Amino acid sequence: MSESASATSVSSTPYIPSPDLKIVEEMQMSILRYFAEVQQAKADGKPVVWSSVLVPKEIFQAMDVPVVYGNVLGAYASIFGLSAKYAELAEDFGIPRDCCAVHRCTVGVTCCAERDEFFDLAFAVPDLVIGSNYPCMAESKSPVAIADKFGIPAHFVDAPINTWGRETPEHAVRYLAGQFRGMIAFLERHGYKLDPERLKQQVAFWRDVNEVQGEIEVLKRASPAPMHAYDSVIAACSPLVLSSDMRRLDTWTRLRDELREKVDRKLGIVEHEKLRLMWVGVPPLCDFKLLNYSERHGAVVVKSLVELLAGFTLDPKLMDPETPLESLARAHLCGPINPTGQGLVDYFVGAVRDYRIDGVLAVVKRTCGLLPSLQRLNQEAIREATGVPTVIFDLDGVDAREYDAAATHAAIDAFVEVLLARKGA
Amino acid sequence: MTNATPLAALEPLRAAIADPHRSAREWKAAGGKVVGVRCLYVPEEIVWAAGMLPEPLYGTPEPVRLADAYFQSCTCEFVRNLFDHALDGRLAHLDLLALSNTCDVARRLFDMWERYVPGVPVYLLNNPQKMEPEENREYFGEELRRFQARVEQVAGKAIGAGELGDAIALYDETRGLLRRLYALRVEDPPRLSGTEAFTAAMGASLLPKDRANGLLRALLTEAGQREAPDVFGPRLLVTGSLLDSPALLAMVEEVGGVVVADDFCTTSRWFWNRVGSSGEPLVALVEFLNRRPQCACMHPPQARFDHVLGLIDEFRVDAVLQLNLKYCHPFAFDTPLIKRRLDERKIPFSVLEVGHDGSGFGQLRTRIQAFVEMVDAG
Repeated sequence: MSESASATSVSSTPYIPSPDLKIVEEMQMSILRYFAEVQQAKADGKPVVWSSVLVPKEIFQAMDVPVVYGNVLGAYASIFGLSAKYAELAEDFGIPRDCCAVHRCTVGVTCCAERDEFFDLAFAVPDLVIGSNYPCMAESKSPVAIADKFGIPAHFVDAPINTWGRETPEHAVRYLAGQFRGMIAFLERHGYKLDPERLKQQVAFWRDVNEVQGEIEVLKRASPAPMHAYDSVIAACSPLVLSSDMRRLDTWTRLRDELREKVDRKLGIVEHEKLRLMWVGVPPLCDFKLLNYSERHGAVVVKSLVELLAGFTLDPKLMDPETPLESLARAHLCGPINPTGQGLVDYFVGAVRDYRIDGVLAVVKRTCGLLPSLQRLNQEAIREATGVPTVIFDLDGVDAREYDAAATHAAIDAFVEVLLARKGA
Repeated sequence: MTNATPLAALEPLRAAIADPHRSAREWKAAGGKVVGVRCLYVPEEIVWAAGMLPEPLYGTPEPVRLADAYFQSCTCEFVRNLFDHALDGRLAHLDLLALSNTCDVARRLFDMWERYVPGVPVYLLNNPQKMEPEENREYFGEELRRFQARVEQVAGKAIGAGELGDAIALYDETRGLLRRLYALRVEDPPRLSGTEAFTAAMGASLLPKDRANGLLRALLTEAGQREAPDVFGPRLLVTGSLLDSPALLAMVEEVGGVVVADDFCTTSRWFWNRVGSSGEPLVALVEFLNRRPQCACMHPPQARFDHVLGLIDEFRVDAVLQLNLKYCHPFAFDTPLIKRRLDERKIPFSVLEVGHDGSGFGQLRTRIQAFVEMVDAG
């Protein structure tokens, strides 16, 4: 697939905003090339693996495994305005409408006999499935359904939840590292081979990327905000699905430098930044523009949960290439997406302080088992620690049948107006 | 089972369900401590060995009230109902709540409990979700040791040599008696109705096991001597996540279904296997919990499907009725998978969404009746 063909596919949709930053635009294009690489690998006879998103990419990349992250396809179904069709297909398959909309779309894409044009570019029939319970139950269950649907081998990576805090005990690290070894053995039974040196290189590479991402996060704290929420989401998710030519440290150093220049020149994304917001909850995939919606009021979403949900930024201090599996295990166990609720709440309270947030938009996707119940805990903890208010409202921005743009706009408008009045802006 | 002789030995077990906290109140009145437990992977034997009463927590068929201010209404109704009980003081007698690592909502219950139920400490046993002992033996064993340490701290005593083994033996006896009781339903017609068997299991779960075992032995004797009643109708397996009242099974039997087997976390999955007496007790518990019939949160899922298919063979089941608690995602995701396996064996299958608060029972009755008639018509 040529890059121009990819560009046509993306620009022809009204659903996706154009990234503001040049490097993010390149990342977005690169994602389509990534899908093409997977399809090419399939054509070359390599088994394609469908995987849960938080299974370490370092292992796949070290083994040259072409991976389709199933719920990325589910997310794209929503992003391209196709969620109703694919969610319904999953419901016809037997998964009820109150189950996670992203995972229903994913299952729907696999069930479909004639997929939409975009999936001609992005879909590759799975040969193997690797599922994980990290971070939620739907993430653990939909791979099972997909493996069953195709009648293909499946492997499960059991990631313990972190009930221990930052001091992760060694038995938990050994267990998760053992789970990764089991996954490697599964892949080796199906024709792949792990080169231990390449694994070390991958861990070292992603450690370095994560260090640069840490610098990017510091730059994102600047006021005026240098980066649109949408750009931030694409940049945060891209490590998972970047084409091989973009998997270079340069990709992230360019992003950092582009941002640094904007910060140094005080170039904000809105002319007069009045408010800084944080978005907690699943983002509005079927109306991605919504992430930038509040900018019309001078209110900028400077931090959003998807950056955390993506979970690709592990603490570089915990990543030691000399003990790659153990350090990946430790970093995953300590990541903010893998705590009990208190860990997530602490993360958000810290983010409110670090990013100087004025208000929190907390959305409830009613089919999510993981987040809705945390919103009240989060709201109270943020208010108690920082005095910053949170508005909680229903928003299923994945299944278009459940999405109400007018109500969502009204909720955001009202909250922003209150915040502006409170600030005297 | 209308012409069956009433079972006198069942009455104390029925009474235990009618007043589920009675045993706990009596235990506390005698100076003991009580640990609430939920779900399937908390080993009650450790609690008992520490001299405390493990109390499995069940909900009540009431609309959710207080918990709706904390959990969104799209959250499992059973958990919200349980949280109601915590908030209105019905669980204030607990000295500890022990939860296990199962679904998203059980994890959130831990978070919410920790923050909003200050009088009762809560512990989340971090069990693995992949039930492969070759992989999880060390990890699971260490988590059980940590749980034991916390239990000992609450009890104010260390579990002595032999006490855990004794507790396992006591619980194994309960499990064995319940298996024998359930085996009476292999017969055609069964000498024990599904409602009676469920009542025996749930009632026994609520009582101190030394007392429950005596009642179960008496019930076995009485049921064994009972004449098989005249019952005709399709032999059903009823499955799902959890059921904390015999009312739904009674409804199935009222409309002509013969419930010969059930598969719930609150009944048969709880007692199906035994630990055994060989080896170090904590290690034996790890093996036992790995072998325990799984809930839908656990992997590999085929183990659960095989268990259900095994029940179908053992109890000569004609059809399967799955009762999905509203908003129970793990079982909902598995539904098409279990359906496919049953279709392959030409076993009729129906799945019904059940509200925990008892709402919609009229509609359910109609649907169950239609299913039973459809199966009966062959």
